[in-house]
Amino acid sequence: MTGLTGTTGGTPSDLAAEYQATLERLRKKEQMLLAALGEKIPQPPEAAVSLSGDMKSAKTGERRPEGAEGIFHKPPPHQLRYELSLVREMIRDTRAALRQLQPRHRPPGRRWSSLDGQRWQWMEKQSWDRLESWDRDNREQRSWMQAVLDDGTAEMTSRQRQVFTMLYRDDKRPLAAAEELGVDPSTIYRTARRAIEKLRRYAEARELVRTCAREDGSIDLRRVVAETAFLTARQRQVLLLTLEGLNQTRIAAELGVDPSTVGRTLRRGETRLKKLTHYLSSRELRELRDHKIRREGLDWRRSCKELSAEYGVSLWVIYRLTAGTRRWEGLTALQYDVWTRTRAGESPAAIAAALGMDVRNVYQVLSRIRRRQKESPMTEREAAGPPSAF
Amino acid sequence: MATLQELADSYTETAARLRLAIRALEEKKNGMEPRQRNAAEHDLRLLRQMLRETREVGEVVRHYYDRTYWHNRRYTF
Repeated sequence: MTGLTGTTGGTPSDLAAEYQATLERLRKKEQMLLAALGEKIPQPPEAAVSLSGDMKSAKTGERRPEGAEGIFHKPPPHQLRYELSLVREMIRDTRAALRQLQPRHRPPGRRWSSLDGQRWQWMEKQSWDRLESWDRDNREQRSWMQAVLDDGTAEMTSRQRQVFTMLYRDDKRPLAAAEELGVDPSTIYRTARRAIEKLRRYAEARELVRTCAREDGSIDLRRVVAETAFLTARQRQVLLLTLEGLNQTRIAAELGVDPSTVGRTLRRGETRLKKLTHYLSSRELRELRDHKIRREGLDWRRSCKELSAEYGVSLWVIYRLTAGTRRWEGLTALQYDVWTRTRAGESPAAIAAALGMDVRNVYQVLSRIRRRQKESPMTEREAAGPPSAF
Repeated sequence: MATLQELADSYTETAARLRLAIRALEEKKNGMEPRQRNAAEHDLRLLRQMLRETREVGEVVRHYYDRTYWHNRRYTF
């Protein structure tokens, strides 16, 4: 039995040889047992002893007395049958072990994997929720990466873009690309590396800007400048000092350089920084701000005028964002304001200027108010005005 | 407490005995009445299942420390 298991620490070829030897031994024993069972020929004593000893039949209760080894002994047929069965079982085990040592035969191509490169086995283990969220997160990530690729390639030089496209969009080998462009392959590798480096810096900076955006739409510029790899060290230094409030002369004195150098560095740094901040599109910025305004507009203690003063946007925007759907006796906040101003004798143009809206919209609001008044004339209480939060 | 080696041996012995029992029952089944035959077939199914599982567990136990067997997924968590 010990021969069957083999040693634990051995090379597969050692193990295989060992298993083969065991297998041969077991086959011989099987033959002997078959002969003993079928033809009932008496076995030579040493064979019987070694057989029984190896099978550990002693453990199963058929232990022979100590003095019996020398005596001719033929085991009863039921024991022979049991031993034959045991040997066959061991043969089966050994063959299984041998099979396990064989290299796995797999088709040479790629095995199945999902779009994200997950194996089926991995996917099977995941819960449904997790897979769904994985898919969703990944889709976002992919669209983000697509955007980065689209914009980031614009940062590259034309040659870098050309090489990048050849290698990663057209899936060309570097050697083939080198041949096509008529340059050394090392040039291709170098250019591709630089292009990717640019793309990486760009992607990181873009992500950084996104994380540094505050809720009201402003950007924590100091953090962006301090952390981005999109600026050179000197540009960062100068920009940070500028953000501290130092003017160019003082920065120049501090750094021990000419003021014109500071100006140039600053200009270049700003150019790069502008590239970065424009990645957060104005639409995104507006959304950030509007959500904030909307949330604060729901607080009844903040009046629309306060909000407009705080965020520096026109009253019209505030009305649209916060009180667009709220009605006070059938009038929206905007309609009420326009109506009040009209009653006070202001012209539509003046109202439009005051609320920061188009004159046409003022006329539209007025016509809506008139229509509503025709349907149900305003009461005295309504004319007295809505609650102060309006 | 048995070692894994002893456990593996005992599993092999059990498998050998199960094999014998299965063969005996298969031989006996042929001369049985239909009702008993059904019962015997049921027993046979159980015995075969036991044999299969005994072999599998025995294999795992026997090769617990063998590198080549680490990739067996059935009993790996």
